[in-house]
Amino acid sequence: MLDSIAPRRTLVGFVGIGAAVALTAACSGAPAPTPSGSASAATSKYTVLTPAPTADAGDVVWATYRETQTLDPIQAFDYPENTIDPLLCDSLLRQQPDMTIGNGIASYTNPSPTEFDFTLNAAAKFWDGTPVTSADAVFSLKRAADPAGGGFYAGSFDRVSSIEATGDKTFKIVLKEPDYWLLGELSATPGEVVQKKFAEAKGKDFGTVGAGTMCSGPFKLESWKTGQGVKIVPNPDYWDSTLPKPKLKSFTLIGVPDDATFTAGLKTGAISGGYVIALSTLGQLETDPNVNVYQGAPFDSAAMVISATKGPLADPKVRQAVSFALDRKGIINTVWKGAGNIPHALQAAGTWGTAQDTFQKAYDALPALDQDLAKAKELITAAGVAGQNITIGTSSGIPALNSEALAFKAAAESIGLKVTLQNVSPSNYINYFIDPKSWSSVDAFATTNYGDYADPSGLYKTLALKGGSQDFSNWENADVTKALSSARSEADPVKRAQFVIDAQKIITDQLVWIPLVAPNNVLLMNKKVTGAPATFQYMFGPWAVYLGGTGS
Amino acid sequence: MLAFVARRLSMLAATLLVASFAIYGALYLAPGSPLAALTGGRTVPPEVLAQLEVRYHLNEPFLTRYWLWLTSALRGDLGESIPLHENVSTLIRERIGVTLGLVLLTSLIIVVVGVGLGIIGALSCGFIDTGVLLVSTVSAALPAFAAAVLLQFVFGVQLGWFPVLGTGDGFVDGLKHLTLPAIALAATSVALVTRVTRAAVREELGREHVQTAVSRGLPWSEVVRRHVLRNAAIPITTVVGITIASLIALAAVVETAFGLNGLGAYLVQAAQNKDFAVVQGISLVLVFAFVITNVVIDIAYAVLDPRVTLGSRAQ
Repeated sequence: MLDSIAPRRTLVGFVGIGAAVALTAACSGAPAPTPSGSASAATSKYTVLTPAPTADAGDVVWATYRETQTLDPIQAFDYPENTIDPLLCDSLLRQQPDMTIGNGIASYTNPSPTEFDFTLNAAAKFWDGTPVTSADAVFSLKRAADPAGGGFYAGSFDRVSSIEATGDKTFKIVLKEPDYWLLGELSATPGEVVQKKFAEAKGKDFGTVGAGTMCSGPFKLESWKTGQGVKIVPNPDYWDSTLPKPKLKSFTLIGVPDDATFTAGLKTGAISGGYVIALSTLGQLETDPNVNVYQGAPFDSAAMVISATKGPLADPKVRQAVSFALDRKGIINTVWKGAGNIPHALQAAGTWGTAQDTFQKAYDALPALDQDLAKAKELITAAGVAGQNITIGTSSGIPALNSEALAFKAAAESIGLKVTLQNVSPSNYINYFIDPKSWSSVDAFATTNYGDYADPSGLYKTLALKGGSQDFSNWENADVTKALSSARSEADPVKRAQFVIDAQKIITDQLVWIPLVAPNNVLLMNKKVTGAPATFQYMFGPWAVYLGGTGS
Repeated sequence: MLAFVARRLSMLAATLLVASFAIYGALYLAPGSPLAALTGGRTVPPEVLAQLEVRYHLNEPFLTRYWLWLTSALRGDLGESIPLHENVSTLIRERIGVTLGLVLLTSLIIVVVGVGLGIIGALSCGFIDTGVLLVSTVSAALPAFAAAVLLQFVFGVQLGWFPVLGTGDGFVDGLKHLTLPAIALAATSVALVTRVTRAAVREELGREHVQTAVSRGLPWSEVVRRHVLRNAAIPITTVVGITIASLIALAAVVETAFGLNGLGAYLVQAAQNKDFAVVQGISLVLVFAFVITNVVIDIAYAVLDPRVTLGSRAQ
């Protein structure tokens, strides 16, 4: 359940503008960030926190690609909702700016491998002043775990056998089998605590524009009108004094679907900032005197999903050949405007929430997926599939994914395969991910994908395990299954990382999916504001508490 | 007059009914699923999808769904947006003001600038007329989305005269926010109206009764006002009316470009999301506005030209 096709900025009528701007921006060729400092820490070449604010920023307007649809944490499943929801509600554990996990509204002990005992922070209280109790926490978790509850995360709770309160502030999660991935989920929106009384009173309307929400987070909901954004203000009575107080008067999250509008807004200050994915105007914004561009460690993964169960692409040797033939530098420059890296594996630095050094070493030990046409030809000749046909699913209405599909087509053709494109409408592209008929009608399609929490297993479990939500080619490997299962049950973070690394090696070697780019996490801010983390924390944790003004 | 209004009202009802069925059917046949908007395009387990389909009646046959919508719409309940979980009437109420303001301001620009330039061009010759032709050619070649980007960057980003985003608070601020969008939206229509006006006025100028009036020594201003403009008014009204009526739908482009919270932009978004209730609701508002505008034009004909009687049919 962890993928995204990232169908942002796909409004059909406005593709023309984006493409026009993209052409000019491509000429300026934004350079990738230059590595600086030591390479020992996983994220050292990337920005974690931007310079701390020195003044009050006043009213901050933040943009995402579309407007917010719900504030219900169990339905937060895409960029806008994940950006705003963790500012309002505290998760049990907290995703921190450097992507490590710390205590959130609760701390836990692990008395046995199948038990987590949680204790809620005694000072924690909801916006209405009532204390946060174990009844609220248990209610929130059961809601998230209930397959009939209307949420998207029930599958992540499949090893949970019971969630029971043991006191006013304490509760216990009992597991069928040890599950340390659950801690990752509990540091993101599925682990958010909402007020039981409020949620029950609102019923099905909870989290909608009419009913709102009731939480304990560092920001309070001020107003929400569809089309005008969600306006939140700092919670003056916030219980956790270890977090900085946001230096701003209000924060409004608005939906801006159009790249040109976003660019003009950011330049003039009408928009204070935003996290962007493959923004076509990134090149011109990097040289703009009113805008700061920061690049955090890659969390998203741009890749070709392989759905072929027969034919050339079902053969790992052919996948390797096409991978060697791919011009990834070209994709980085045209689609990602330089803000990306040649990947060594599907999951890069931004996803390492634990054991960063271990993950870094293993990642460096894998070869960068550079272009090597000689090797590609050698492999394809050995496979003996020259002249055979493959079909790639794409949508010319989603420019970024379409460019990647075309680059893949060029690579396959350069080594003698025949390629058919299946071009569908932008709204039909989703079918490749949800409709078996659609994904089995093609051999590959492009995606920008991410996991639910900061660990490479968050994505790998969806595509390399039998029955995984994105295992479109029914790919399975006994060693990978064993390694991932061991990782899930392993308490020690370094040993757990080692198991994931074992799986990663096979997944990368076999190219279950073919990695295209490890795109940097790009943060843009008008020079009037500063402080936001440049990492993927913005999708899981209380990131905007670091935000404020520069006084200019 | 009363019979005219009654006939027009029943026509309006029939138009709305047919349009609602056609739009619902077209949306039903269009690719995609409204659930994709709920999940942000991410993969969800089939059980969750099945549950959502039941909740939003997506598993029912087409006619059942249309009937469900129609019966509740007749009771005044236009339904609820699937991704936004908001009542469609509320959704429309909150957005109609922006669109109305934008359309009124744009209409004003079209009428004043378009008709004005057309008359000036027709009555003058030499470089003024050439100038008018040039201006109208350039603005005709400027589609709204291109004009929007151009205006944003010149008058918003570079000169800083106008805001590039949002609707603003209060009348003056609101007007400031709507100026660039209205100009962007008006550009192409101004060209059309200018050309039609210029041609219509030129044609009248060459007519016998105008020549006669001139030869009788009537003052030139009176000839223009009473004999030229009055007669040229019918084609001008027609083209102005049709242009204005179609503005509401065309407004979508500039509303999106300028981040305005209007009906058009939301209609585009809802259509892409296959958000049935919202598409139906907003489309019916558009159909309603179109029909009403046409009635106003018909009345305007009768006022402008006494030979036209309301509701008369071609013999």
